[in-house]
Amino acid sequence: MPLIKYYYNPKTLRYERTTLSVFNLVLTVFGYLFAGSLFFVGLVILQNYIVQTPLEKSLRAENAALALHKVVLTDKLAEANSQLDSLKAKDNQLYENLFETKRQPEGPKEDNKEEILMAGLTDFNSWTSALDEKFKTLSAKAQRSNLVFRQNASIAKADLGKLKAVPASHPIENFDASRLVSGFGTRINPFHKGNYHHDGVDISAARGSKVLAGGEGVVLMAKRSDLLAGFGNYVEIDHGYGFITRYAHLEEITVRYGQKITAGQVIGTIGTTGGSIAPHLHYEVVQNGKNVDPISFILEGLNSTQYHHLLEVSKKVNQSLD
Amino acid sequence: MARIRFTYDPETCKYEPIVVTGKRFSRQAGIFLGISFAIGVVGLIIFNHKFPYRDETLLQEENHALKTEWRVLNNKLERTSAALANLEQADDQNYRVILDLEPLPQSVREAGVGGRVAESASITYPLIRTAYEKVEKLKNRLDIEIQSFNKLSKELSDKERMWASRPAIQPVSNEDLEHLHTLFGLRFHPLLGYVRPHKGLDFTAPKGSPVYATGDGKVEYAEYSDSFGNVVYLNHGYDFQTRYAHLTRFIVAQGEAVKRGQVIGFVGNSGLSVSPHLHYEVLYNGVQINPINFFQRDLSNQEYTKLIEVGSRETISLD
Repeated sequence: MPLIKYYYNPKTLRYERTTLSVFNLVLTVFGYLFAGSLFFVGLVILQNYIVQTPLEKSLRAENAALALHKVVLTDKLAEANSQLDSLKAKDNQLYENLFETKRQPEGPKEDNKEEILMAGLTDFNSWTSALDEKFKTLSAKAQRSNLVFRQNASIAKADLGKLKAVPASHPIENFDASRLVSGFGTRINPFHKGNYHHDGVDISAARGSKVLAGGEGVVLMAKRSDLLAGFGNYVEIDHGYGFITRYAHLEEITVRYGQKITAGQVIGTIGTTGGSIAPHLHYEVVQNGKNVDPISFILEGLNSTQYHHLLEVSKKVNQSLD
Repeated sequence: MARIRFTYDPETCKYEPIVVTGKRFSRQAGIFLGISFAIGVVGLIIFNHKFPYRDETLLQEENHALKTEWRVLNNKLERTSAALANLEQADDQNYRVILDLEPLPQSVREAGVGGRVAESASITYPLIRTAYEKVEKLKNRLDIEIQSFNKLSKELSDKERMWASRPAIQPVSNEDLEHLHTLFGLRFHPLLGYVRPHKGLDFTAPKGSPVYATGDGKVEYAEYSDSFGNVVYLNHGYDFQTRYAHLTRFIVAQGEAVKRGQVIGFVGNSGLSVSPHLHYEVLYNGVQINPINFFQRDLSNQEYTKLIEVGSRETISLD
């Protein structure tokens, strides 16, 4: 039962029904809305406080687990990394002991760009000098490869048959730069640690791997020796045109004197006979009675990048294996 | 100025002022609060309908951030694993090949992976569990690789000792050497006057020229014999022995350890000898072999001096 309200109008001296003014209406609505919004906020807070949806519950648990185990795993990873670092140090130490040479630092760092951007003027000078240095090594490299090219080009000019005699095949299967342990030239002798002239290249491979003929030819020598010095079991192949190749420290020899050999034919297996400290092939190329760098001839199947890498590796002055 | 409100009472037929009683007030307030509350509830329903639940949003954000961190962690794990794989490869394909050891089989490298998973098995979140499994696997591989590298180091140091023991240099410096008689085998003996085997090489050098140990080893004998005169026998181990005969005197004693390049005596003419020279023998398994194979004749004087200095320096530091 709605209550009808009246008020006393002093002007008309009568009781009149009250009418709802706009102002009052707005005020009332605002009052409701204001109180309503207070309730709303309170309810939201209450809901957050009390209600836990299944998703929220699982998320909360998952987040807690993620945060907890992250700490544990980060610790474990840090421990693993420190072990890895000590392993790396051991690796370097082993490498240095084995080859008597410092290992080349790993590839250039990626953050060079930022360093350049952030460098001051003095730093910039050092950068330009570093660039200069790089240019010099590059041009030296270019000159070296030119030399090799010239040598081989002159062979081609002299005689085409001679080109066929060049021992261009790989002396082992799956040969690449990582197999080349020690190059031609002055190297450290593993026994007395003094510098001497290493007349060939040392190619590392597992004992028993196949040794292949560097080119077509005739077996000039197949000699066995138990002496713990010198070439051990070794094979010499005459390719004609003044080219002879030698394969030393073999375990087995599978060819005999006078036998005709095609390029890539198996002539024996990798061993460590003679004056050798590790299973490897000591490979020599003799051109007109003089020992020359075999790397100048091992060209077969290598693109120029691979060949340059091989050349780079072969120039490293380290300890040889014989 | 509060206006007094009236209400018409049909019973008394009078306009009577409205008195705000407690009951009326509470009813009014109740209506107001009820309506407000209803508005709040409607608002909440609309809010819940329109917007995701606030806690869920926050948690989801947190979850997202955590998962990003986990991705970073996983990447780091992968990087470490890859670095370890590099080392394993270097181990198998370089060191084990060169040191003549069998490569470690994959089964050994992964050994024990199944044994220690208890820690991770109870975790239901696949992201966490796989990370744990990865770390455990990594740790196993690391342990095995550390053992492997220790073995490699030991093997290498054993071999280094063997290489250092091998007779590898000339016992007399080229600077003192007047003549090297490369004859090994049967020859006519100048004093005895008949052909007999000559089982060493003769280095002709002025009396008093230093004689160097050609490899690391131990002095087996240092004595005087009628034929060899003052002679030093070195045992290098690994089945190698060397002998240095006809010395004026030796400066090492039996049982003494010597280094390659260490001076052990001086060239002389003692025993069955016609002129000052060093008679040098290399024995392998007790049999004389041609010493010419156990030094490099083309080694430069400078390099030779360097090698001898190493020997003498190490002797001093050992004393």
